[in-house]
Amino acid sequence: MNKKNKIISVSASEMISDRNKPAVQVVVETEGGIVGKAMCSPGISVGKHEAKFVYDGGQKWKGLGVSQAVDNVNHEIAPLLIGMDVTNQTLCDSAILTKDKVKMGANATAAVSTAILNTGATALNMPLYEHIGGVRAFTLPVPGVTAATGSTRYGGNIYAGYKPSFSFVSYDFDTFTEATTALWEVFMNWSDFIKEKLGIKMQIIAGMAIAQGKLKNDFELLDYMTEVINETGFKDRIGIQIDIAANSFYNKESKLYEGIFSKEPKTRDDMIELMVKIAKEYPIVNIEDPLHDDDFEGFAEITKQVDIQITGDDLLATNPERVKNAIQMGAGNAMRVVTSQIGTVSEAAEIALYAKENNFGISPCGERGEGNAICDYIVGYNAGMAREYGLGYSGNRLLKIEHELGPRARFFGKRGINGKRFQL
Amino acid sequence: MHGVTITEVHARQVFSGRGHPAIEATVVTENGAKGTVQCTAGLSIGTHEIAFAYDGGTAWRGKGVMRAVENVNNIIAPTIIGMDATKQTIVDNTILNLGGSDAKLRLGGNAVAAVSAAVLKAGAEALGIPLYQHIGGSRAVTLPCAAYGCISGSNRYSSGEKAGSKPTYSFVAYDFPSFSEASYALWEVFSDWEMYMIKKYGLRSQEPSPDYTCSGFFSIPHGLIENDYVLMDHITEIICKYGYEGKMGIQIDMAADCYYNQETMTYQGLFDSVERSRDEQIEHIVRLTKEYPFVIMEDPLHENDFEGHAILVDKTGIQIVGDDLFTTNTERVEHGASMGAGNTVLLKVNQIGSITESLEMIQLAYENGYGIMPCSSRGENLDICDYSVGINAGTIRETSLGTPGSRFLEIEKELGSRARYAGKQGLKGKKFRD
Repeated sequence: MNKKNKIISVSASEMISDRNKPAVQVVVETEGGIVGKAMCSPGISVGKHEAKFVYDGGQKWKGLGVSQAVDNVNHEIAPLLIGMDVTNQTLCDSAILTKDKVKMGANATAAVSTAILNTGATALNMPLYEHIGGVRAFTLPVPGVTAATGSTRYGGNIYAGYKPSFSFVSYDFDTFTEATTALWEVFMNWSDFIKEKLGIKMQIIAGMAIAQGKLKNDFELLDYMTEVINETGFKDRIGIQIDIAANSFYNKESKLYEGIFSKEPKTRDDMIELMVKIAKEYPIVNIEDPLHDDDFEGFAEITKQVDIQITGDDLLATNPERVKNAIQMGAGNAMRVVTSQIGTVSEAAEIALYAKENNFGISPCGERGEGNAICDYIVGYNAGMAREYGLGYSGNRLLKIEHELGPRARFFGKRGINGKRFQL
Repeated sequence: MHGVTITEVHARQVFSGRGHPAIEATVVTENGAKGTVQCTAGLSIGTHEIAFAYDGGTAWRGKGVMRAVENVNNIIAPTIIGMDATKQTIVDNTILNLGGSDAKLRLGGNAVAAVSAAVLKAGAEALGIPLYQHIGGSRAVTLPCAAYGCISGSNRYSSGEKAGSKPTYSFVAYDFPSFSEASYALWEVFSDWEMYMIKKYGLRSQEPSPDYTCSGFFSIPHGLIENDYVLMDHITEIICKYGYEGKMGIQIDMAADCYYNQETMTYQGLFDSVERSRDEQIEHIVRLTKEYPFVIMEDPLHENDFEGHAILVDKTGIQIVGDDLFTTNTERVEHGASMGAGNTVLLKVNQIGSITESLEMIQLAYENGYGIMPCSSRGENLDICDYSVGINAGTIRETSLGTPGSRFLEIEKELGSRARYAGKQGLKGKKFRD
C-alpha cells in the first residue's frame, strides 16, 4: 500500500440533506492529506424492503435524527478502518460489513462506504466514474428531465412526495451532447406550453407539481407531452418515462389504487390494463413501479404484454433476494440501484453486475445523498439509462465526462433502454 | 509561494441551476489546485446590471454564451497564465484593463465574473485553506441569520410578468445562540409550513436539487388566494405556535419595480389586486411592519426611488434591502448611502464583474453603516455560504437548510468555539438595537 493512502481518520456528523432530512455525513482523511466525504439521507418514499436506517426516535427532527447512526460510525466502524488502504473499496467494505448492518444502520454503513469511495478516487487522482468502473467505464446514459410531478391532483396521497413523475427521455441520437441539446429544446417548449395551457410557471429545470383541478386525467398530460415532442420535431427520438410509485397510492384494505392517473379508484387488473394501454398508445419508454411493492406477478404480467422498459424500485429495493426473484419471474426488466438501500458500495456494485448478467437493466438513482456524484455512478456502471439526468447540473457533469472520454465515449441511445422495442 | 502560479484557464458553456446556458470557468494552478465557477443571469434583471456577452441567433434561444467562452479561452487565459492565483486584486486588475478600461464591456461581464471567481477558488485551494478564510482571513467567523424560503409566484394577482417569481416570503431565525439552533428552529417551522401548504392547497414546493440553493418556495398560482395577508397570517401563526415569537421573523422580496407602472405611477398587483400610489405603497408597507413580524424587506419600491427607500428605513425600523435599487453597483450604493436609502445592499457576487470590485463595493457599504446580504442567483451556488462567512454578513437570502444549510453547519463546526452567530445583531434597523 502506498502509505499516503492509509486512512488516518473517519469522522461522522449529523447534517441536513438537500431534501431537508437529517443526514449522516462522513469525512475520511488519509495520511497523504487527501480528504473525501459523503452524505446519506433517506429518499422521499422509503420502501419497506430496503436495508433499515437507524433513527434516534423521540421528538427532535420528528424522530428522524441520526445522532445514533453518527455515533455508530465514530465509535464502532471508524476504528476498523483506520490504517486501511482507502483505494481498496472491497476490503474496506468487508471490514464495515463485519459489523451488524441492522444495528449500525444502512445510513451509517452507506455513508462510510461512499466516503471511502470518494476519497479513494481523489487519492488515485482519477475521476469517480473511473474509480468505480475502471477503463471500461465509458457509457453515457440516455438523458432525461422531469416534466410534471404532483401526488395530489386526483386527491392522492399527500405524503407521496413528487410522485408520480412524468419525464422526457432523449434516446435516438448519436451522441449525448446531441441528445441533451434536443432535450433542452423540448423542455423549453414544454415550459412555454404548460404556462399557457395550465398557468403553471417553471422556474428551474425540474418538474412542477400539477395542482388539483388542472387536469381531468393523466391521458391529457400524456397527450400534451406527446404534442410538444412532435411539434419540436423529435417524434420517435424523444419519449416519456413515468415513475408511478404505485405503492404510495395503494390502499391495502380496499386493495385499490387511489388517486393515481385519474379520480377513479383502480383494481390491480385495471392498473395492468392501463399500463399496457399507455405503453401501446403513447411514446412511453419506461414505467417504474407500476404496481405495489409485493406484486411480482403483476409486474411479470405487464412486462410480458409490453415491449418497453419496466423498472422495479420499491419492488426490488436493491435487495439481492428480491432481484433474483424478479429475474426468475420476468417481473420487470430493469432495476433501480441505490447504495443506501443495500448498505455498501461493493454490495450495490455486485447486485448491478448480477442484474446485467441476466440482461436486466440498471438505473442508478441519486436521491439518497449521492448528489451529482450519481452521474459518475451511471458511467461507472455503464448504465445505458438512468433517471432524470441530463440537463442542469447533472447535464454539466455528464457533458464533462463525455468530453474527458473523448472519442472513447459511447452513447447507446435507444439500445441503452431495455424492452424489445429498443433492441436490435 | 510554491505552486500557486496559474497554469491553465479554460471555459465552457454549461447549464445554470435554472437550466439556462451559463459560462463556467476553470482555473488550475501549478500545484494542481482547481477552481471552477459558473456565471449566469438572474430571473429578474435590473436595468443597472453589467452587460453579459450573449451569442444571439436561434440556438439556445439566443442566450448561448460561446462568445464569452471564447473570450476567456483566447483572450483572458493567455494573459493571466503565469500569474499568482492567490493575488486576487492583481489578477483582477489585469483582466479589467485588458486592452483598455472597458474590458468588461468588450469581453462580457459574464466572462470576467466567471474567471475572477474561479481564480479566487483556485487560490484558496492552492493555499490549502477554506474559501471563506481566503476571502476574509482569520476575521471570517460570522454565520448569518438562518433563513429559508416559503412562498413565491409572480402572477397571483395578474401582474408582475417580469418579476421572476417575486414577491417571495421567507422565514428568518434570528434570536438564537448559534446557527445550528437557528437552523433547527427553521426546520421545525418549515416542516409545519410544508404540511400546511399541501393539506390546505395541495401545493408542493419546487423539487429540490443538490446544487440549487434557492429551494423551499411554494409557488402560488393565479386565483388561489384572495390576498397575501392570509399567507402572512399563517406564517405568523406557525412562528408563534413553536414559541418563536420575537426570535423568528418574515423576510419579503417585493421586486416592486416589476409591479410599478411608470405611466400611472402606481404599484399594481402586489399583496392584492389594489392599486397604490407611491405614498400609499409606503404607508401600506409601514402598516404591514406593525401588524406582522417582518424583519427584512427587499426592493419595496421601484428601482429609482432612493428617497422612498430612505423614508422606509426611518419609519419601519427594520432591514430594508436594495437589490434592483443598487445592483451591486458602487456608484448607486454611494448615492443611496448619501441619502440613507435602505440600510442593506443585496450582493450578487457575479453581478458586478470581478471579485475585487465586489469586495470594494462591500467595503464601501460597511463604511457607510450598511449591511450586506449575499444571494446566490448568479451561479455562485454553494460558494455563497463561504462568501457570506468570508465577509461576515449578518443576513443571507434563503439558503440555510438543505445543501447550503449543511455547508454552514460544516463551517460552524470548523470554526468551533470561534464561530459567532450574527443573530439579532446581524439585522440592520433600529428596531433590532437594544
